[in-house]
Amino acid sequence: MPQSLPRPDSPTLQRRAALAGGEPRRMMAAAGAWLRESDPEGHEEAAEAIAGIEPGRLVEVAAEIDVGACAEALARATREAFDAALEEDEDEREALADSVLEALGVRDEAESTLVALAFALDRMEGERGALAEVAQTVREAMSAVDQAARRGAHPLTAVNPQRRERAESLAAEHRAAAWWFSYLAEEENDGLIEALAGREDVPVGAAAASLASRATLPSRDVAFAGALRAVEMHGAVSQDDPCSRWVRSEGERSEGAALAGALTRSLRVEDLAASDLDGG
Amino acid sequence: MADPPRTASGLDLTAATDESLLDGVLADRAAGRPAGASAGELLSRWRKPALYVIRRIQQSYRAGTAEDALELYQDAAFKFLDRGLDQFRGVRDEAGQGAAGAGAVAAARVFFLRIVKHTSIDHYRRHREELAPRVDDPDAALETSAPEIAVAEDRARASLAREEAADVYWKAFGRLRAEHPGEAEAWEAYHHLDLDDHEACARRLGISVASSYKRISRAQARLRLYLLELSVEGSSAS
Repeated sequence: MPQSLPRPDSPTLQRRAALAGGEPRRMMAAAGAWLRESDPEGHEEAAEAIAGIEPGRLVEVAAEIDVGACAEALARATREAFDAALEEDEDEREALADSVLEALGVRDEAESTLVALAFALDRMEGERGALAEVAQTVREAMSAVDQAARRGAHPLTAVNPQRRERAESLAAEHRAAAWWFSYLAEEENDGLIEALAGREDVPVGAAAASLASRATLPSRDVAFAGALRAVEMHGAVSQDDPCSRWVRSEGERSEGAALAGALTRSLRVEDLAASDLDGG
Repeated sequence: MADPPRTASGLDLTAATDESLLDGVLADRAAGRPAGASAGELLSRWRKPALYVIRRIQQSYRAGTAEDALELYQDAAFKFLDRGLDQFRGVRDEAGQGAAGAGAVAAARVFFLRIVKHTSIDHYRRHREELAPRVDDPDAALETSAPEIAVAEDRARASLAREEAADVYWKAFGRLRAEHPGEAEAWEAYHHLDLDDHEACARRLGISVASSYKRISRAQARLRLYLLELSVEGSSAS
């Protein structure tokens, strides 16, 4: 049965082009992307391409991986995903989603390069010290970036359908590592940001609803007590401080708050006379 | 003649100075050891000033009894041991201060008395309307007949949980102000300054009603996101 030809803009064609004669950095990214895919077709071709690159050039490829750019891209993806989740204009939302995926692609490409480098190291005969050292350093720096970015990655749930699609194209053993596509990407996490914003017009997955319920803001009363303590603990705070502003404003409405504010300002424990404190 | 009470490290509690007690407490905490005996002795020495502060607040609110004062003192002591001591140690470490001298003891006592003060203010402010005399109230009698320590500990834990929730909230709000000042301003107007109405909020900020709605909705999502992040940080740190 004749196979349908890939579209000219398909990743497969682009990778073939890169493998056919690209410079080492692009070749390694393309080969790594292929090795990470669930479809084994092309793994052999990728392996051959990696084997054809001189070890010295591989060290350069490893050193060129821009960990800082990955950190910036992940931060941008998270920021824009948040905006996409709450954007009401459909065209704008789609444009933001595309931009998020492009930013995630920066981190994904670095991962592909790292996988290709690991593959090269596995098959390398003889001296592998320099490459192993550089690759290890980059991997560790990337892990730190991942750890920090993943902590605040909840907004990525805004592009979950697209992330699921990308995650599913990866081989199972590479899926969890590609957390930018797989973390909180299950359907049950869809709608998390909308749930946190209190929107009720959007379907929310069960896990998202449960996460949102854990992120409950304290009651006004509890938050106000915190403002009083902050005014006390920070000493002479400026008029611009939101805690001071709230204590003043609340005092104009409520007698209890007015008294609490007055006590917070006037009863300074450090100024109490020793005779008061020690005399019982 | 019975031996004087001593700490696990052999310190004679009755003869120890405040400085040596505080040194012992901070050293025990730094080493992850329970600081019960030394801390208990130190807190009992601060009992009088604590009760003085509580009485001042009771007088201002025209409420409360001597029994209430003891319970509030116990609540504050629980908070100091559970969390305040580590906060105090953290502040000292940041300031690069070493062993406890007279200045450190005074600072620790002020720190504890601030906890006492705010435990009391919070208590009487919240219950201001409910604090009618409970002389003939059979439920109240039942409540006071329960084991006092357990009751005080439960109350202190609940109060501590409220304080933690408030601290986390203000941390999140501080981040919102730094990263998204426009949204923080709208949130403050709507929720803290109690405008509670998008039209009034929009007028105050000089923005449209739609913008007010959008900013507050986004601020809410961000604050709750920050809480989620802080809870992830907290669970990975513990």
